[in-house]
Amino acid sequence: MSVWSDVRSALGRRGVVRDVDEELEAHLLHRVDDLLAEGVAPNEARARAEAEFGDVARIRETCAEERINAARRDVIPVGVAILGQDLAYAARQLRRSPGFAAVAVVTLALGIGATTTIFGVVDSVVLAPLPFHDPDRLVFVEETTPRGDPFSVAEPNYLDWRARASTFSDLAASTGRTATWTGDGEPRDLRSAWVSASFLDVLGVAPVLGRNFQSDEDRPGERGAVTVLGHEAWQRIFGGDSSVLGRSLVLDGVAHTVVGVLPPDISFLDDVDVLVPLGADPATDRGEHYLDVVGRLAPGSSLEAARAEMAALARSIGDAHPEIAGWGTRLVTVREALVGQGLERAGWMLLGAAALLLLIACVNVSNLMLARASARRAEVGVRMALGAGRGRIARQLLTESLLLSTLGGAAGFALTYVAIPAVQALGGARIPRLDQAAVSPAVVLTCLAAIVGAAVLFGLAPVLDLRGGRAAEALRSARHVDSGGGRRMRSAMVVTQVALSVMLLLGTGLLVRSFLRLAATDPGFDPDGTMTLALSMPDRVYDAPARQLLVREILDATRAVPGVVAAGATAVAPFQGMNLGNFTAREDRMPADRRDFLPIAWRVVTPGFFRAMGMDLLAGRAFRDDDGWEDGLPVIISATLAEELWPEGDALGGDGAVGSTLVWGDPEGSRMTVVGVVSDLRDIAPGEVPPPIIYRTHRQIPWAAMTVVARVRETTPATAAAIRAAVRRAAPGVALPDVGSLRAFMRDAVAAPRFNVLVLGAFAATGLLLALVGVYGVTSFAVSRRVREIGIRLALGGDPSDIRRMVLAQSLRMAVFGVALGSGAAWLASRWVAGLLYETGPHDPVTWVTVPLALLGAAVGAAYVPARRATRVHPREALAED
Amino acid sequence: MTRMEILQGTLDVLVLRTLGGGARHGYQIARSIKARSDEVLQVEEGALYPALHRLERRGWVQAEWGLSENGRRAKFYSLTVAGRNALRSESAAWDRYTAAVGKVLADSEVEADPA
Repeated sequence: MSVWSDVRSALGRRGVVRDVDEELEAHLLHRVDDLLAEGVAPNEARARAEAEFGDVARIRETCAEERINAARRDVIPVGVAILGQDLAYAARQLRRSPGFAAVAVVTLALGIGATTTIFGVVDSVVLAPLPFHDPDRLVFVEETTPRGDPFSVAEPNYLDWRARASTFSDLAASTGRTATWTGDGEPRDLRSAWVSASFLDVLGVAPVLGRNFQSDEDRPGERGAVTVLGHEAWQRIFGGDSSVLGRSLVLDGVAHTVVGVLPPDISFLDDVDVLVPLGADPATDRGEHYLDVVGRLAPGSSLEAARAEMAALARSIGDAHPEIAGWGTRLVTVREALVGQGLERAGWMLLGAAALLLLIACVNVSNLMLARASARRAEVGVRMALGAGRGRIARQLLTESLLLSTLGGAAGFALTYVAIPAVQALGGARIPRLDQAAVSPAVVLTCLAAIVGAAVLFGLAPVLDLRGGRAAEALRSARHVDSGGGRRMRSAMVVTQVALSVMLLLGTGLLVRSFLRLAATDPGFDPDGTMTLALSMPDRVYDAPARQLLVREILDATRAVPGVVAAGATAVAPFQGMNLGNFTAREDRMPADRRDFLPIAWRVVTPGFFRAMGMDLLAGRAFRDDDGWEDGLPVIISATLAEELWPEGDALGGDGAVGSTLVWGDPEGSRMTVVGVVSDLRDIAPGEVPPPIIYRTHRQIPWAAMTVVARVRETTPATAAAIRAAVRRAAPGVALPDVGSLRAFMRDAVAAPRFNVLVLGAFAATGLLLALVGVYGVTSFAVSRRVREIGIRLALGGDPSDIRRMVLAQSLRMAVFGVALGSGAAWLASRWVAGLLYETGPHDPVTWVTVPLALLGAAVGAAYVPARRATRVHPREALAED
Repeated sequence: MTRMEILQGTLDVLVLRTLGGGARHGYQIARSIKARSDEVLQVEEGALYPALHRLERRGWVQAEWGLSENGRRAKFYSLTVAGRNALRSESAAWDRYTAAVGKVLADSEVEADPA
């Protein structure tokens, strides 16, 4: 027989049977030939041949078995052949109990799916290398105020660093702006970055098309009218046309020649549409901080060396320029800045939670298998009696586990295709690189590892249980013998499950508490009933007086829209990651040294802003349209600032402040007159301590990018459209984005913590459900095993409530043990979540009391149903069972 | 004439011996065993086939489809090298066994008849 026919027979049982049939038929035909030759009548010959032959069907079957085994052995290694048999057997077993199979597969799919999904997310957000050349050598350099607060970098300082620092092979600067793009109908805002010519070189990013900026295009005062397009903008604006180089793009009224296109997916550049040369100017004021500076460490130099050198440089620059004496530097690796400790912590926390869920799922399936194992003891006993070795049966059981786990894993893997997009939708746009999460090879590997790991984990218990079993004993009474070992093991599993879900629930409880506190923090404004519109008036198109006028006209037009109650504008939209800082002091108590000035935040706003935000005027007056540099430079301050500088002022927020004089920046700075005090605004991040704020008017500082805030009667699409149309009429040259709202700003701002709560909450809920199923299952099982005993007790006049209490007490014991164990482990692990909590201790008493109690209650509830069933056992039925 | 039920291991040796004379198909093997045992050993003909397949699985015989002397398709079995070795050792063992049995029987006959 050739190898190929072997293969064929190995593969096709039907082929084998046909082969055997033909052979046996040949025998019969030869016999018939002989009998005919002996003179037997033709109609008798066939019957005689068959009679002499024996049981044709049985012999055919035996031969076919023999052949299949032979072929298998020839073609496939013995181990694989046995695995094949085991798999076939396992599949038969699973088909025989579809309920068990379904529950196990769904449970595993949840566990494996959750783990794989979260791994995909963590892989993309935390683990994936940054898309730069040798990203670990990249460092952000910031300035620090004399008090140590981080600050952006001033142009001359950046230029001095770049010229003098030797620990960096090069430094680059960038600053994000909005550029208005015209020339294609409606003017539109593009996100632009002004960058030094060294920028892409430092990052190690090469344009996919064209070139980078040249140093002669990056000179102060003569910035080249050239631009490098972001990949996404290239697709959007030019449809990915590769002949884009040399084309022109009108940005802020100036035609820029496209010289290059960036590669896709460059984090922290992926939301930039266009790059234009920065042209940093050494003549700029050293007090004007707005640059982000990134450097590449020189070969052989360390972060520490760079820190030391930059500190020395800052001191030497401070000596030469006393107005910035005391300013220092802060170096943060790009990785830490982009990925951030919070994200990393959250990522690992969620991955840990998913792993816990997978563990619970495994324990659950393990438990199901144990329950089945004792029900199947008879079958195992028979197989052992027939000579199957313990190893062979263990192998069979493990194969069954592997089959289950593979089915669950496949379902879980399919789940990731739904779950990853769902998780991305939950996370919103605020979590960097979340949008890049996908089913990657690493995700597939994790899934496979989870499948094998799970199979070993939940397949182990039935195998261990097997060691206790003895064939004869098993055969004697399959129904009623439940080995003490098996029962102990199942109880231990429920304890484990409860413990694991307590850990998940405690973590969730802490995050929920923290999130509720965070969401309940008063931002200092009323986010409901507002609409916002972010506008930019490029300074190359509109000069300062034009911008002042334009903002007034836009606001007048907005106020004229029916349904608008109040409207104002601000340079710093709440929770958009922007802040402006400076220093101040009372003129009558001014310190001699500017280092002792008070750091403050400042905002540029228009009249109507406080009303539109729903803030309270605590003293003095609000801004008026004519508040400019005249009349002693009127400003309005926050309640905190009033209290800090005029502690003697009354409780209302300090009338003492109104009419007083503040100094802006340093002893030589402008003198400002406080005309009003408003309630505190916490617009930097939810839960962040409100900084003292000085409000200045747009007439004083005609900021180019302003966000209009309108308080409206009804937030309907019609109102939004009307506001947009009014602004369009008042300012035809300004790009108009979609209308937003303060509520949406707030939602975005708590996206990350909400994400953590939702994902962890989903895990905890699933884990709890599985644990309760475990408690229910084990209690039911215990009751069904003790039906006879319970029946006897009842027959002898036992009180049903005693029996119920006995069953409940048993389950409660498991639950208490599990809760204690889980709480202990969670107590030790709680420091891992501490960094994610807002105003909630990792040992928050409310959480630590509520969660364990709730879980005990739920466990008792889950045990109650079977416990009640126990009391309904009819003595006669119980005794008749067998 | 008493007919003896054949033992499985015996059947294997008989098949190997039959094939020692060259390739044969199943029916020929069955006839040959019957003839050589003077029809004393009664093989239920069908029982031959599981034995053949068992021997094939062990690698002692190999099979090939061919045409019989009747002009019918039939599966021809022949000994492999391993089969030949097995035939030698099995035959030797079988001979030793039958000799031993024969000796025991002969001795007991002597004791039974102390002439």
